Amino acid sequence: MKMTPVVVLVSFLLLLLTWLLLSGLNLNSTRFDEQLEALDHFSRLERALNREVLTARAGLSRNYDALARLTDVYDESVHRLRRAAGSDAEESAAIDVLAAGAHRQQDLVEQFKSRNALLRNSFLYFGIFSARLAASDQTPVVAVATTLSAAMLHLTLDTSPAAARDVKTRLEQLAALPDPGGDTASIQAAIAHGGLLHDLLPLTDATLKALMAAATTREQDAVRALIMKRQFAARASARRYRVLLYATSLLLLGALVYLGLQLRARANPAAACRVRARDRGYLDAVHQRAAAQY
Amino acid sequence: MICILIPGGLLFSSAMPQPLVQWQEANSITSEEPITPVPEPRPIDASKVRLGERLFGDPRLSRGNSRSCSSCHDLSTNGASKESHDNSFDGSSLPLNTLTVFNAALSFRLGWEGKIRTIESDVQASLQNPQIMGADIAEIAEKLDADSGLRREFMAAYGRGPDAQNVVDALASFQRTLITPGSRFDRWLAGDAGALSAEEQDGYRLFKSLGCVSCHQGVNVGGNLFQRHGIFHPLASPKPEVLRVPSLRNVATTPPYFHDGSAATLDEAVRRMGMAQLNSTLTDQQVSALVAYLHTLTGKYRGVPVGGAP
Repeated sequence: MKMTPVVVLVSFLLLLLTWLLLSGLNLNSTRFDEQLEALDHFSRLERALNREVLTARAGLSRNYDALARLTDVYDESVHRLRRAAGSDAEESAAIDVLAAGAHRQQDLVEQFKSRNALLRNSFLYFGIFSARLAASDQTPVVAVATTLSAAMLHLTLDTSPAAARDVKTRLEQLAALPDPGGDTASIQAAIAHGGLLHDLLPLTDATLKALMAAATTREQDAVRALIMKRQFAARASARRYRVLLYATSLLLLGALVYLGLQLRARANPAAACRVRARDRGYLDAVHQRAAAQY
Repeated sequence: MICILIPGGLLFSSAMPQPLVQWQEANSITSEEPITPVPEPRPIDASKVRLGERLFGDPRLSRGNSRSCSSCHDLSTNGASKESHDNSFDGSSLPLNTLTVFNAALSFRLGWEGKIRTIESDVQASLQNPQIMGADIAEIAEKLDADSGLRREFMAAYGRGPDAQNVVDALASFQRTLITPGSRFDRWLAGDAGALSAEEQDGYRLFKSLGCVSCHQGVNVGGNLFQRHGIFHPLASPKPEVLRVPSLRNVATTPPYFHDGSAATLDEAVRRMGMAQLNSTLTDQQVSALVAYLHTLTGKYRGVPVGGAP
């Protein structure tokens, strides 16, 4: 029967120490590492996506397979981030904002691919028909075709409204040429593809600018700040628990020392007698002093 | 040629799932040509593929056990049907032509409008679409569960009987194997100079110089971007205005063409594309060379050329 309180006490102490230890270990640190890794992965993909778009715009890409694959992996990285975040409501809300930004990016990438394909196509044709017109035996046709080519070249470098207006003016001049004779078909083709380029070049540049402006850096920073906040809070909490663990350990050490002394005293009868005699002598002296006073 | 050949429609399709790290391998400037060869199908658990293949031809997957996936996607021919529009349950025509299921796994989005992102989503959508299979996947699983042989196969493949999840997974696993490598053009890309005739090589050169390749590029010769149709002149039915550029793999075997199935022959499709998307009236010689090239895109399914001809 005497063992019961001891068992209860030991169990309690065991639980207390285990709880303090686990709380002090900051077991959430792996989760935060995963979250930060997922966020870094997302960030790398967004940069890779933008780089691939610029590569395609520069005409260095052979096809859009890499871009399509990157878009899919980029989209998947948002899901990975969600999985890593778990059920934290505040973090989920921040990831929702980030996901909206990621969707905007994907929409812009698709817009870019479609426009860039048309752009490349019309450049091909515009080049073919401009060359034909430049070789025309009609001087006015050659003159207008040459200025149109120069204006178009300028528009590829500078898609400002002024440059676009210049192209439009040249296209109108080409359309207004009287009696182009055998060049009619080439003129019509150059006007059709030139008109498309006139619209598409500024639009494609605008898409690129929007893509760069829509980079989710701010949203990423918000998610990162939240993860760091949680991480710091978890570290501080773990530190507190470690101090508590230390304090509890000190208390237990004190108790152990006391119990050890008690045990030693009981284990050595002579010493116990001495202790008892000393205690008795002390008590007697106290009694005598008290009696003398009365 | 800015896009839109091949018949439209769907059933199962999607992009091959890529491991997260593979984006690092994505490099668009390493290949010399804008088109890359079709790879061999990735190894997938054979028991799941077998099961998926069996389900693909199983009418119990539809409402009233009236049709199977293979009713509209004939794997012994071109992976699609010969109709311009297949019929829905009420006898009316489906809104779009049926796309071939071959190589659908290589496209980045599925269906003519490219609204579906994964094969699994596409399988689900097709099974549940009231016009296509009109089924409830849970009910399908119940029906299949009553078949002791099939139940055993599910147990072997998934460690449990049929349910909504593994029915979809089995079909998706099978669809990922519907890849057709080994076309003559792929052999040419791999360095076999004799794989293409002079006219076919001319056709490929035209394909690039006329601008067809602006949209029809990549491993699937399309299937990796969206595009408007009717850029310069009307091409086909105006709706939907924007389509996922269809793949031209096996295109010679998949008439009729376009999302409305309105071009009966490849020759007609090429001419109409030239006018609508390029503002160009192609000469007979150009059309002939382009068509000759497009014929070289016919690959092999299980060692047999797509289209059924040995």
